[in-house]
Amino acid sequence: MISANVPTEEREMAGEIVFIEDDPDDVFLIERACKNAGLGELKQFLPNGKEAVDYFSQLLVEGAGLSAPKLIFLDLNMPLMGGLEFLGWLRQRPVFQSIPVVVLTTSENPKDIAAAYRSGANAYIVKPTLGSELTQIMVSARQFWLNYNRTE
Amino acid sequence: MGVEGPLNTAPCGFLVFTNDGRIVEANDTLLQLLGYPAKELIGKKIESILTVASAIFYQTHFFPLLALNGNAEEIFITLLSKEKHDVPMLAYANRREDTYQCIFVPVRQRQKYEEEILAARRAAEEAVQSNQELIVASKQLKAQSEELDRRRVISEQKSRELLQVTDILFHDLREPLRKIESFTNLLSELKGSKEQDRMCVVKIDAACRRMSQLLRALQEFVSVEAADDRIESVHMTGISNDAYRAACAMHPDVSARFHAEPIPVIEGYSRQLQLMFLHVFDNAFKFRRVDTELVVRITATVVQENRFRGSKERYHYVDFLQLLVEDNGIGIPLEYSESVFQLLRKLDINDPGTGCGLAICRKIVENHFGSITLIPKGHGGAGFKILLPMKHDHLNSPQGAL
Repeated sequence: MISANVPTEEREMAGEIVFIEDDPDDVFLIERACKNAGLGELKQFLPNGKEAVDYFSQLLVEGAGLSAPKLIFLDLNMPLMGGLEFLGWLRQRPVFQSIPVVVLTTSENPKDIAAAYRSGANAYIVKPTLGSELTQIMVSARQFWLNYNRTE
Repeated sequence: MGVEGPLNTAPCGFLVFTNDGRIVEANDTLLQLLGYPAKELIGKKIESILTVASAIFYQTHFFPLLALNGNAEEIFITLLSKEKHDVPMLAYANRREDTYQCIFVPVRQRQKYEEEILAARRAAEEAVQSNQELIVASKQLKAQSEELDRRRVISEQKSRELLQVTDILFHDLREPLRKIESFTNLLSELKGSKEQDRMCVVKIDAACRRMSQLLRALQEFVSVEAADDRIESVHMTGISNDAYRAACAMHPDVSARFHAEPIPVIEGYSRQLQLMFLHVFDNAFKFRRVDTELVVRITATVVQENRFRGSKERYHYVDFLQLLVEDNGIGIPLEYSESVFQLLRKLDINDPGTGCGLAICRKIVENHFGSITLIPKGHGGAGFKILLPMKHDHLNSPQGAL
């Protein structure tokens, strides 16, 4: 969660990229890739869809002074609430409709891919096995979604 | 002598005859009914207007009854017309002094009705008979349908299980494997590791790759489901050419020639048939002779084959497309003609395939209710005979395929 003690600039930075990912091993690998990609301080990890709903619900509270993330990486298979269910919840809220959501998952199932786009995903990436590849994904994602992409 | 008054033209025949059976009076109605000119009957014996059977009946029953009781009612008797046609009549008679007077009411309709009743009865009897046969047939059908239903339940259960396995293949099994690969890669990136450690990492990495490849092949195998696709007209020539190009792209360093006859359009699952061609061609590329240019040849003919494959003694010959796909590669010994189509049955442990390609081919062909077999090739190389039904009417029916 975002701490009130963090200075304003850093607080805005802290949740710029949100990873919704339940697997601690993947969290470890992603953190490592983010560090190598120079995204060390921008990220926030949420362990499942339900906690993500709680997190985004807080952003809806007026006067909390929290800003919405600029990019979401979403896993599909998670306990309590899966990725697609969370995505459905998110896209129903007008303020969150333009946040880019990149599905980052193990599944190569065409049905999962189709369902993700139907639910409002902007991109679908199968988790690579090479750490260097994951780093490259983070570098590209930052460049494309945070630098070039316009949401407003 | 004619008949005087209204009785002459009354709507019934009127006849007077004597004790010895001689006709003394006949009205016009009777004459008309029997086709005699006026007065021609007078003086004739009554037997002359009776059929042989009626004459006997007259002598043995009708007349004795009349003589004894003085009257007879509602006697069915057949008269004979001048043209020797039967005229069925209902007769009423009584005695008047020494003569007998008799009226005849034609009963042609009644006889027709009786004939109809008889015909209806015969039809009913036949119906009962054929109904018996129907009942037997219906019992057999019911038994067969119960058996089908039972098999269907089993097959639905199997396919649900298979779906679960598919999910596991798609996700759960992949997950730990990917972790092993990821962390092995991390290990190899670490500086200062020993030569021996690096060799272990390479081995683990290779095993992971192989495992990943197998999972992918298995996944492809289970995902080739008839239920996912729709029957359509498939341009076999086009998709076989596309599949050949794809196979070439997978083996860019191989020089190969392709001889394909135009193949007729058939009904089928286009995506699956293209995959079938791809795996058959891929098989030819993988098992080519290193010293010879690869030649792949397809010939296509339409043949008549029995549609019933699962039931003995049931025949329905329909058109099948017969494809012969042959190459000049290392070939497959005939003793493996069954096992080559089984999943993960590789003939040579070192061969580059996953052991799924031909199993996928067979599954696709069977999804089309066809068959794929190895054909003997005297001069080397491998050959496959593929039979695919030209049409799938039974799949388009509302009940679908049983």
